[in-house]
Amino acid sequence: MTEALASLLVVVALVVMTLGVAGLVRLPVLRLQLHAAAKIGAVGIVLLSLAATLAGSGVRALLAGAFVLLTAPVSSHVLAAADDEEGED
Amino acid sequence: MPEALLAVSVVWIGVLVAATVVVLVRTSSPFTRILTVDTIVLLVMAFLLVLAIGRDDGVFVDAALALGLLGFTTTLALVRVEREGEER
Repeated sequence: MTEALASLLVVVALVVMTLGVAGLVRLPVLRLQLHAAAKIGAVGIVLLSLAATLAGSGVRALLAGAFVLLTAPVSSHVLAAADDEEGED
Repeated sequence: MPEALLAVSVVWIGVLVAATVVVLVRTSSPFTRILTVDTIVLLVMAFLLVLAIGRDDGVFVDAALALGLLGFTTTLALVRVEREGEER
């Protein structure tokens, strides 16, 4: 049962990551690409860490997901702020 | 986890990394390049987590966690370097 749920979470995470990379490829501006790329971490990695926890890797897997979930907004903000500052020159 | 799903996932993450590398080569904005590198790190983390599920070995989870830490600090450092030039 948990193995099937872990497999399902892996499939969903892969779909989300595909959409994120598709957004990164197709969107023209950094500001828009940040929206797509943040989902790869915040949704994809978190779902995969949940799947790893369900599949028996222990609570350490949740740590990886929690870290990416907490730091993805910081990365996006720092990139957006730097891009904003560069555009003012 | 079925073997077929493991194989398909690994190959598909490879395809995603290849697509992201194409973006890295083709873009002209430095911050898009930094974002692309961060995305590749996240995709490799995903690859390691998928392997942890498929091989049922906890060492991949440790590797994914370490890579996540390094990738985040690398992104912050690259943005700092890009903003302030190479003097620091």
